[in-house]
Amino acid sequence: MPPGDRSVLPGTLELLVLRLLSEGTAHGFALSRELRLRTEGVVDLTDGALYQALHRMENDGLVRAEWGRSEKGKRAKFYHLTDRGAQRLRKEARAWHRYVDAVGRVLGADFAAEAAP
Amino acid sequence: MSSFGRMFRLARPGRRGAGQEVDEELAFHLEEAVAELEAAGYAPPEAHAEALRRFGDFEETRRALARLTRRRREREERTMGLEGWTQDVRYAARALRRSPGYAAIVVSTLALGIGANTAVFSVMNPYFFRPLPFDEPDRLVQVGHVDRSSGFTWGRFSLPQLEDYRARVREAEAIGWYYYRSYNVTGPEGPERVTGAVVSEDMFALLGTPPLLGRTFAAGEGGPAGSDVVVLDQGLWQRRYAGDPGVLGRTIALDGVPHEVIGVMPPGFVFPFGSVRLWVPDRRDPAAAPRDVEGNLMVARMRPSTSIETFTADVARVHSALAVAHPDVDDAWDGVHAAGLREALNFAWDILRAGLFAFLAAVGAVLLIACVNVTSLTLARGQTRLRELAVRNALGAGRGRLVRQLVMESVVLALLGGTLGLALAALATRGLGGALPEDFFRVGDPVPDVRVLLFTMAVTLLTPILFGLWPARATTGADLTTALREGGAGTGAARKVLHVRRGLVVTEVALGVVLVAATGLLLRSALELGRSDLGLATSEMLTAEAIPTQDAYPRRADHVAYWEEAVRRARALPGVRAAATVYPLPLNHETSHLGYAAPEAQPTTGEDWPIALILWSSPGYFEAAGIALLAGRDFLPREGADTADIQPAVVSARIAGALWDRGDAVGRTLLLEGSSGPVEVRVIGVIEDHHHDGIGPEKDALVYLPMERQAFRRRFLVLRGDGPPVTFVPVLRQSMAALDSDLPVDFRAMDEIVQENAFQWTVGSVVLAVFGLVALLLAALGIYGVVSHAVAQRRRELAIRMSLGARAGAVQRSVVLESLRLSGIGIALGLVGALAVGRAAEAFLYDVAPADPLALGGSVAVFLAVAALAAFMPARRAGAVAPAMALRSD
Repeated sequence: MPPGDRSVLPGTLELLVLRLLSEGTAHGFALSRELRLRTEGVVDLTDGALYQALHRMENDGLVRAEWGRSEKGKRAKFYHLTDRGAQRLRKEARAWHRYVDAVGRVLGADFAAEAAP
Repeated sequence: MSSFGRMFRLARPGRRGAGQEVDEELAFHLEEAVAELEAAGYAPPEAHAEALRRFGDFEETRRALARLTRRRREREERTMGLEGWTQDVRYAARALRRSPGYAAIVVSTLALGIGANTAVFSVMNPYFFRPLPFDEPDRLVQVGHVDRSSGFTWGRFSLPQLEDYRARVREAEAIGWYYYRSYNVTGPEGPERVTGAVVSEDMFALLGTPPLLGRTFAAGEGGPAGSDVVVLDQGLWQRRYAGDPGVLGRTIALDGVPHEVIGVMPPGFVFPFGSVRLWVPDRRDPAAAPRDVEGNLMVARMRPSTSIETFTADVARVHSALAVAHPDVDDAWDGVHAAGLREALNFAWDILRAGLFAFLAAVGAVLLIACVNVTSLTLARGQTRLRELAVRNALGAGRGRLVRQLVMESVVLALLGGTLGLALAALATRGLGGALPEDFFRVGDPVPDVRVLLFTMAVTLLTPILFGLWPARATTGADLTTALREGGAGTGAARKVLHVRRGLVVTEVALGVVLVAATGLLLRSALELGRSDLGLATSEMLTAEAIPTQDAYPRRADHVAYWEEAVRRARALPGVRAAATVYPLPLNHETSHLGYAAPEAQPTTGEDWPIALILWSSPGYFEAAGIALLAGRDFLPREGADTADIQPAVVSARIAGALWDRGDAVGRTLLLEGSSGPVEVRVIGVIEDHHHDGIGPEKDALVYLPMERQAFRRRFLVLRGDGPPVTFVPVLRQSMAALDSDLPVDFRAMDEIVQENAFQWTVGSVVLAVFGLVALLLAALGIYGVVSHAVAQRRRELAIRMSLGARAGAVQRSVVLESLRLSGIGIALGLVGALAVGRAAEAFLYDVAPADPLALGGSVAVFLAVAALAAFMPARRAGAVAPAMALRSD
């Protein structure tokens, strides 16, 4: 992968995490894995950045964490969405779609992404 | 443990747990990542490396996460803390509701202590603490001449003297003067007598208070070339002129002389005392004024950097120089004296100040007792809830939390007590404030002072908190388990607490005894005072004061005729036994003094003559006042009018006895020490001793001279009839109004005047009696609390004793005896204290010794009774303990 494609637009990380958590509780590693899988490797951020984002969101009250047991029985920190987080998700998602549509209208259908090899 | 574990054994920053938590989370992630990579085919070392690479900057992330975690934890603790506080308050309220008796006692104790303290300070505030309504009041002083024979320090000055001082005193920025007198204010609003002050034209500038309306005197408005202007007091303006700003420029008549109103002073301005309600400039000519007519009081503003000592020395220097220049006038005085205006203007300063100290001491004692009581109760409460505390501790409540909960109860109680105390203070302030006479110099009205209230609340709050912490310390941790096992009665902390509480009760009782004894002494003084006679028939005397004005009665013959006719008409009223005029009235504090001696036994030069009070009366006064004539006769009508004849005099038995052995005084010549040599008078009668100038242990030496000779314009008519004085007021008023409807007359029953004069004992006694009662109540509560608690603690022991055959009666007796023993120690200490206080307050005791057995004995008896009674209930409970139940209840 060319290095430049690994970057993720600032602010969207939070949006992605919120979206993932809206599907259920997960620990940090699971989120990291999901992100890589679902974005088909386009979003390949560092785990450090992910954890920092998670903790920031916890401090802001968008997510809450609890210690529990993983599938293998190991102690892990699980995150889940709060009401505030759900609200933020809706707001940010709407904003994102509006933004994308607007940009798309200007760009037109040119330069659409080709399927990755 | 994975190899990553080693990384995490490094020093962790931040609070305990935060770093660990972060490391645990990250360790999990890396382990999973490595596992995934290994499953995908990586060899372990490469898997490690790749996992770390994918992570990014590990150390930086770890630090950032630790920081974030710490911040989050702090915020969580804060919120939890806040929730904890509200929970504590609710819990405290619930606990208090379950023991309403305890709560009620503590709240009332606090309320009494706080209320009393606040009230006393609030009442004293206008007299001692509130700043004077003048500019830079600390630089204002009053100067007086010191009288050689009596030591009186507020002798007055004449105008020429004042001019001299003005010119010569260096340490003064300005010098002014004043005297006060009453005016008949007439006009459409009706006649009214108002006290006013005649001041030098620069006096307002000297005092520095700006007027509320209009202006004060301008330069040139004093002196013979000046103007008849007047400045009004705000109270007078509101009351008589309805607060109409249009009063400026109006002309009002003072003693018939028109004066233009030029200004109104602001509320709170008072000079020289509360009842002075208007000010006029001095219109006399200093150059033409005689040097020996000394009727003015001097006020000065010192230079900014001058101290009162320097100032006094400077004024003394000037006096010495003037004494040399005018030996017969200025040298007649012993010197000069200066004092701050607050002290100088208050003629009862000494009494007030002593009163203040007494009140402060009483209040301090009551406050102390209240604190002691509350402390004791709090300690007891800590004990009673030992078991509950132990359980909660075992369930995980930390020590800090338990302490906080105990303290919270005290806080809630203190807040309730403070609120109640404020209400009490408001009531007490109003009551006390009204009892003090208006003529005492004060700034503004007594109003409950919130600052004092808050301060007192803080004090009473701190005490139970501090003492609430102590048992909480002792009752957590190991002590608790011991306490649980022993069923609450045990050794160690419990016993310590009981000892402390016992000590507190002893203190309480001691303080209480002192207070009650002091009250007893004062009450006895007041009683003696009430019993002691002025020597006059005060309950039957009606007095009427009037000042025939200059304009309506310009010549001497005019006002003499007025008074003669007034007396004649008064005598003719139905039911009147006697009527006459006198000057001055008893207890009026305006008396003149002269030295007296028998001609054959004149004191040598340099020796002091004994002093007598000089009074003037018209025929019939002695009968009107109920003064018995022991020898000789009263004055005859017109007797003494002729200045060529020697003046007749009636003397009191004390003088007669002192000078002429067996009181054989009638017909003898008496010498009075006049300002220009001895004056001869002939004794025509001797009357019984009585008080005139004040109620005190010794009767005055009195010399009555005929009113005819002096013929004062201002006199007091004294009337005595069959029936209470009040019943004669309407008819007398009518009779005098028929003579002159425009002349205001002041009617007062003599008893009223006597009461006012005895105030220093009455008010003081009432207040102290209240304090004494409060102290008694609190002490009783304190004793009750301790004894009942001790009994509860000893239930087991008592039960065993009873099961071993001790009778209920014996057990009860032992409880009561224990209480008496405890109180006995306190009483003994208290007696010592009471004796000390009595000696210190000797000046206030009238005809009562400091070690008065009745007061002290009474106090002891009262407290013994209280101790016995307070122990009664717990004793009964002790006797009623069913042994088996007590033993089983653990």
